[in-house]
Amino acid sequence: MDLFSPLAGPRRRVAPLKAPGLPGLDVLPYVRGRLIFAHLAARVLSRRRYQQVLVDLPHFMNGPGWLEHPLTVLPMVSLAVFRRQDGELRAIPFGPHDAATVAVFLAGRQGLDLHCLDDSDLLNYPPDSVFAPELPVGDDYRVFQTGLSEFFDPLWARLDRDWQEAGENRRFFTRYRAQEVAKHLRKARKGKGRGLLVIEHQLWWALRQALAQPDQERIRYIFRWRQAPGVLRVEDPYFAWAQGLLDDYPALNLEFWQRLKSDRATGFDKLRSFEELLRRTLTSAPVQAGDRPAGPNVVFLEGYLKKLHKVLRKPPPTEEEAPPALRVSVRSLISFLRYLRNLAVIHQRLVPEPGSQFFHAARACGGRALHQTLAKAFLDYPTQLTGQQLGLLLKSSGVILIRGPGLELPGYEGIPSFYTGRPFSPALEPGAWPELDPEKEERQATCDLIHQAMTAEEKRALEEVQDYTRTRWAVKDDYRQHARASAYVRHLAQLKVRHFVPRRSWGAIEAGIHWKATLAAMARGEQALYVKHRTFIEALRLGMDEYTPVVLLLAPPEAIDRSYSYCVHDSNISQRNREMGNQDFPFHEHPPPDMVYSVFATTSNTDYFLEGHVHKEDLTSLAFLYTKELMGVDRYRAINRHRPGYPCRLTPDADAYLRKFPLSQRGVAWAVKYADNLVLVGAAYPWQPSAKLWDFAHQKRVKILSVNLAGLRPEFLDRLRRVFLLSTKLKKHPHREAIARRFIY
Amino acid sequence: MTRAKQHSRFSHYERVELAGKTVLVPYPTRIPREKLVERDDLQNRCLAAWMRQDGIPSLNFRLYGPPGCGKNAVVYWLAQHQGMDLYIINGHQELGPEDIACTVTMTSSQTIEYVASPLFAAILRGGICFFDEIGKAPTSALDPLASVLDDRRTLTSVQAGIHLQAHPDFLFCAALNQDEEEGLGLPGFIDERTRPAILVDYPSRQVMERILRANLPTAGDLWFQVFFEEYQNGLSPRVAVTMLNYAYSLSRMAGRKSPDAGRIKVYLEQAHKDVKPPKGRRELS
Repeated sequence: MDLFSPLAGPRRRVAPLKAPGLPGLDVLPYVRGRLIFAHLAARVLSRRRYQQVLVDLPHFMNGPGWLEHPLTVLPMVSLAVFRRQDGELRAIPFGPHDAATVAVFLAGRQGLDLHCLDDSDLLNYPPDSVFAPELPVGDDYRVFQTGLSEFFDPLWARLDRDWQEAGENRRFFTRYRAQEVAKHLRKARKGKGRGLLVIEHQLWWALRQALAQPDQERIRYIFRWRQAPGVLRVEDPYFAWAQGLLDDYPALNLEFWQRLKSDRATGFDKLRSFEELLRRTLTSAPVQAGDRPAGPNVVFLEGYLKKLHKVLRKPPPTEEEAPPALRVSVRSLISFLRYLRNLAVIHQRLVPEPGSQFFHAARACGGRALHQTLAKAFLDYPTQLTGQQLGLLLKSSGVILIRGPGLELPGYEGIPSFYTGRPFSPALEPGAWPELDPEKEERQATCDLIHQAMTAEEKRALEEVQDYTRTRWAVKDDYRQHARASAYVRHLAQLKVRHFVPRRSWGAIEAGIHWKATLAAMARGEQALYVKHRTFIEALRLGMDEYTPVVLLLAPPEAIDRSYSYCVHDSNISQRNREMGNQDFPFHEHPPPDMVYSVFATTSNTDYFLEGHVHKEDLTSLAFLYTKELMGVDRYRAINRHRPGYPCRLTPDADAYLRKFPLSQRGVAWAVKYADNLVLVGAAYPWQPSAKLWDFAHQKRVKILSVNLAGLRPEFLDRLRRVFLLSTKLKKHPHREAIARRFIY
Repeated sequence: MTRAKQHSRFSHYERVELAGKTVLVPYPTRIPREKLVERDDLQNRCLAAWMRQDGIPSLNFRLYGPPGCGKNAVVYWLAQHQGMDLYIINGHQELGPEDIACTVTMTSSQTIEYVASPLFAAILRGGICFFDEIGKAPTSALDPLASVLDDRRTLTSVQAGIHLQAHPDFLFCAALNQDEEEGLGLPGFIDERTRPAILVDYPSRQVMERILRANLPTAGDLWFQVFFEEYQNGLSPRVAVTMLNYAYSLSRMAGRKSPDAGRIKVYLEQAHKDVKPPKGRRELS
């Protein structure tokens, strides 16, 4: 309650509304897919005052049998998707964060009379005929401060205003739908005791008007449809969250569900759970800051949190409980907490938005390490049933189960909502999230960070790609990092061979005034200006460009010697098309296939992802004959533009002479063989060329200049140690970039 | 140019007596008058970083992103919004620690004068210091920033022998390119002290359209429609504005006030060829 204290206010008891003209009926209006309202439904029903529960699920769900399936798979989020007469799909989501789902679940558990009220024909309403404007709901946690009426009144006032401008078609079908719901409601209420109506707030706004005018002429419309094929699919919770299908923080949804199952849902508080999880995540992992021991940092951080935000109520965990160290400094954590608090205040939120505020703040202040740690904690959710499908058939009499997987579903963007006919996922609908772009992008980036998998649609597309080759493809981002590292090595080498000496100026300023020498001169009474005179170590005054080979030694020599090696080649256009398996390429119109080698790497370990479509190599060393980030045909051309005879067409492992060098020297020896006059070696650990390597370099008239990489940022050094290789199938995948983003970091 | 105008252009320093020394302190930078097309998310993030509440001081943030996406424009907007003076330092490879604090210069009468840096001026007067291209400055040049950006909030110039406590209103931000941020990065002690690191990326289609319309108010809707059909992705706002402006000028030069879609396409192709825009959003794989 204290983390964002400037906005926290006294909480009040949230009581359901009374239905006008229907004695004994309480109404709980809700916003679809918001955990707060699911929680409210649970609280109201846990008082066990009702004999009947009425929800706004479609009327055809009253039939026996199938509704238990989405409840059985809870807490997994599932989608019931049906095909309309015109071939389009419509989806109804179920999840523990949805008030209707929770009401149905509790009605079943308490043995209450349950009715679904919405119009079954809604499935086949004409396109764009439902009046459901996008309203800025804002932070739903405020409902505990305002109560239901005060929370929804501005939204309903807005609906009143927008209604005046709604088209005739929308007005007609909205009235029609409300009358159908009113009809079902009256019928269900006949002779029943106390009931609770759990209904989406916009539908309640329309229904309220229909109930207030019972004598209004009944609108009639005849839909002709017999049956609609459908499917119930269990969604991947991470992808579902990225699309806004699972409310703010999946871990909190899960906690709520676990409490609901054990009849403790009333004690749940989203904000308190959020703060508690944040506290646990930040303080249970020992914090590292340089070489300082973890213990005092934890104590310091806890003290800071206690003073500033008063969120600490429990002692720090014991050593046995502590998870792996969080590689984030105390200063970064403090910045994170300050920044998050300010963001929440600026956006007037008690619980921060997950994407554009919480995870954004984590990445902006604590980098990838903090972002990943928090993402793992806050997106923690079971995945065991992901992708399971149940075939459905919707008849006018209700839903029945059929054998087989049912419909084949497209991506989320191809499945609009059953209720509105628009994309059901906020991520796909402009304006649905208060700040669509940042929220959507940050959610996707967070999901990519911890969930390395493919969607069903992506898997299907991968299977459709033809591949006859076993070539693996390097990725651009790796080459970009290597080019940066090579440029850095060149820069260090230039600093190493460049010196400034103070020299008395006779007019020229040269590389600038040498103030220390000038002031010293003035102190001793000499009226002279001293300037920086640039000198070079003559022996090393050699030109450096992208053709100057660079070798990066990223591990100690003994670790490199234990590694295994491979070479990366770059092809001309014919060879490339052959490797891509492009059978229809006019090979006879182009030069014969050719390739050159320009990268030699040693690797200590290989990890395989996505059934082997992605390889991750843990590198110990890298050698480049060409150091720009060009790839493929462009790189081949750039290498061939250099002096004749330069291209390497023999790997060091196939070269009888180079093979005699151990791996820790082989990359440098290979570079020496193909260098013009200089090889740059960037070593992260102490390294010395062997006598044999010196002899070889001397014989080739090539100088070896070694620089220390210890000054590099550790994250960048770690990045250099990883390279990724993709299969040809993945290389040709239409969503290659989106998939690659989940692995390449 | 009149002498008075020349004077207003060149007299950029105020003589200030500090610790018994005369220091030439620069005046604030004149903020370009261009109006920033609103990018609420970005502006709110920057304001959140600078927000002070419950006695907690503001944070020093840095902006990073591809060139031409509006990092500087955001800072100009912030200075206008906060109603504060803006002082800009440009990072480059030859920058030294004294350029960050206070340099010494020789006058024609062989005396030494102290010249304060923009950072010094912002700290003294309580303005905003914007360190542009901080990623290009050598590590040693950034050393004086360590004490400025942590709780001490002090700047020390060894050459001038001045130790300056920051004005309570002093604010700091920096900017660097995405390559520098994601590659070698800033030295650890600056990296830690300039957080949050806020990404200024390619804007969404809607924002991009607003930017283009703001920069070319006389161009008709068809221009924007054709532009987005042909060049939907991968152009920074700066390049997009340049390209569209150039194509529009070509059309006006040819005497066509309202060309059809086909002609607009031809002008845009010509502009694309001449402007040679750099590759936009980079691919990973």
